[in-house]
Amino acid sequence: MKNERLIIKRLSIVGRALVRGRTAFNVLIFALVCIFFIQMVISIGYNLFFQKDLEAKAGLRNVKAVGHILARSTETLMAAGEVSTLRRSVSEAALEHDLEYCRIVLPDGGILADSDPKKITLLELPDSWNKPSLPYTETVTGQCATLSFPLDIPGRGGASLEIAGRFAGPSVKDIQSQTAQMTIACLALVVMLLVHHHVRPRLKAIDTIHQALQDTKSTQTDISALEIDPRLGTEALAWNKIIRQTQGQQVRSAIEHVRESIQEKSKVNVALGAACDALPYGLIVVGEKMCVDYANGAAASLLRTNVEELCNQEVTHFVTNQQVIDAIRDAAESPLYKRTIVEVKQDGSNSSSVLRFMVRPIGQENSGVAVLMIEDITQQKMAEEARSGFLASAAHELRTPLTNIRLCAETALEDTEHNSIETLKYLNIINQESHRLERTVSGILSVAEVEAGSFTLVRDDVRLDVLLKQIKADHEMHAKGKQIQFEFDIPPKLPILHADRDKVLLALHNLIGNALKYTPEKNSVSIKTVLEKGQIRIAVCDTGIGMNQEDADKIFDKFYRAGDKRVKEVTGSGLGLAIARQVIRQHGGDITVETELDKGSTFTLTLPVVTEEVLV
Amino acid sequence: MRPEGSITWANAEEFKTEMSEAIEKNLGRIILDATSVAYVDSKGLGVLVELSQALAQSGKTLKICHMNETMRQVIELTGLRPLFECFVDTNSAVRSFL
Repeated sequence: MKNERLIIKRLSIVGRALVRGRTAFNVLIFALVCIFFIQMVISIGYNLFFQKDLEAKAGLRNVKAVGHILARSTETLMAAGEVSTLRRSVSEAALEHDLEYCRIVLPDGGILADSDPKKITLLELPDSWNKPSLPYTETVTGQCATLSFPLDIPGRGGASLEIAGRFAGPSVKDIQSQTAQMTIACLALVVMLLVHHHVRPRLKAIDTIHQALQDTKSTQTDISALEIDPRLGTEALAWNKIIRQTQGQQVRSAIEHVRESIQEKSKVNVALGAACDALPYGLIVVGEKMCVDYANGAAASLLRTNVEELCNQEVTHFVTNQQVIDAIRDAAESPLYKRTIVEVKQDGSNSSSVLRFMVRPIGQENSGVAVLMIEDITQQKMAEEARSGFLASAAHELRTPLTNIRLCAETALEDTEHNSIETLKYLNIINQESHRLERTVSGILSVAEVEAGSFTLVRDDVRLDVLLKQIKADHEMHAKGKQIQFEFDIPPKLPILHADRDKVLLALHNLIGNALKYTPEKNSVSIKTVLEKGQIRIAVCDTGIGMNQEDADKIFDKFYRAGDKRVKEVTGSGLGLAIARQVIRQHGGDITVETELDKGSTFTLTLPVVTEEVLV
Repeated sequence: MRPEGSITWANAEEFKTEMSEAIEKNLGRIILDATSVAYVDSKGLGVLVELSQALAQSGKTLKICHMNETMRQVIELTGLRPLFECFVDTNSAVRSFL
């Protein structure tokens, strides 16, 4: 029973292990276990039910054989009267052959020898007895056989040898041996199954890894596809961990590579940005939705903002000219759009500027990007206007006297009556206009020289007091003629100027000459000289006709003459003050004016005087 | 712009403010006429450098004319000459804008 239970228990373990697996190996193991089990059962059954009779018969034959042999030997020993030897033989036979009992019984029932010495009833062997031996009898009851062999002892009589022996059924040892073998086989199979069950997931995991590696293409860079089902066990988990770590390393490497590329690009961008900021022209890249993608410093400066405010804002916030805006939009939409140039005048709080906007597309299909370049052309425009104005004025100033000269000459030539008075009059006009023309040409040349930079200063030591005295002497007669009070206030000690004497004299002559020209009779003209803050100030004050402020603002412009009719009555080219100011400015000084209409004017000439060592 | 007097620590900041305003109003078209500038101390020199650097951000340089000899030597010795455009007279400086 115990053995049966043990077997059943072991079989159940195997069965459970087998149920878990579905592989052919499991099925095979299960089949083998079943076969062995069935074989074991059949064997046991065979032993129990079919082997039993055979074993019984074999046992009986065995006992019979023993009986026969013992009978013959007993007859011999009894005939020889060897009772002790006989008894010993009987005992040994019983022991050796595992007999229940073995005895020699005489016909009268006396036991001569017995395997159990206590049952011997005859101590000695009778000399003879006449009763014959009993016939052979065989009695089998269950597993016990009782046999009676007749003995014929010569010279004595008959006896019988009675033996009783047991014969086992199927050998328990055999069954146990077979059972043990089967059990060992089953256990081995179970162990193999358990080992397989334990190893199978691992083998499956390795097989899955192998399959994943085989399925992965050599060009595939994403190794996350090599991950396998983590339910396959610790090997799968470890593999997946390795894959993730490797992937992480790949990602970090890629990030590092990208970071290095970005840094390289940043360096290039920084260098490019610095190069663009060095441009004196504004450069703006307009991207999608009219948004400023890039702007250099000059662009921000010209649009009166800063780069941070300008970038990433709509360009229309800073450029308001519709023509420019339309050009930017058209350039962004069409890479074939040709360049557009628009000049825009911008009025600031205290100044006006002229900016030239050049719009160009980038040139790539569907880029949606346009480039806007901005140039400050204010100075060029002012120069153009000044040049145009100067040419117009110069032409007028030259043409007028030439016309007068021509008219007078023609009239004089056409005078058929040869009127000498009329002829003299025309000749005088021609002479005056010639002088006027000469002054105008001279003035134009001087102005041109100054502006061309060829009007060079020849600096030397100039004693200002001497200069002023000379000027006074030159204009005294003119002042006296108009009864103008002509006063010079010259300090006793004036520094020596390092200047171009002729140019300074020219400027002073112009100022003082104008003062006397535009001051009516019996008024005054005073010249006051002051040294202060390292500068010489020479103020020419008159009580003449003065100017309104509008004329005062333009009085230093070339060819400008005030509209006052009293000015037009006086001869002048309109270049004197312009030249005087240019000359003095070349010396680092300036000429300014304060005036009041009908009250008079004060023209102040300022020249620098550097008298101290400079320490920094 | 024609400052009168020396540019020193006492007035350098005020000078810088006025120059900066003028630069902004005139889009950088400005000339510093140093005729009446007797000398420039280190603070003043620093202000000139700052103004030049601010103009450099928009591709311009500070134009100076009528520098006296001392001021010129100071700028040369301090190695700051490349930061400025120096002219003999105002007309030359004005023509440089063309």
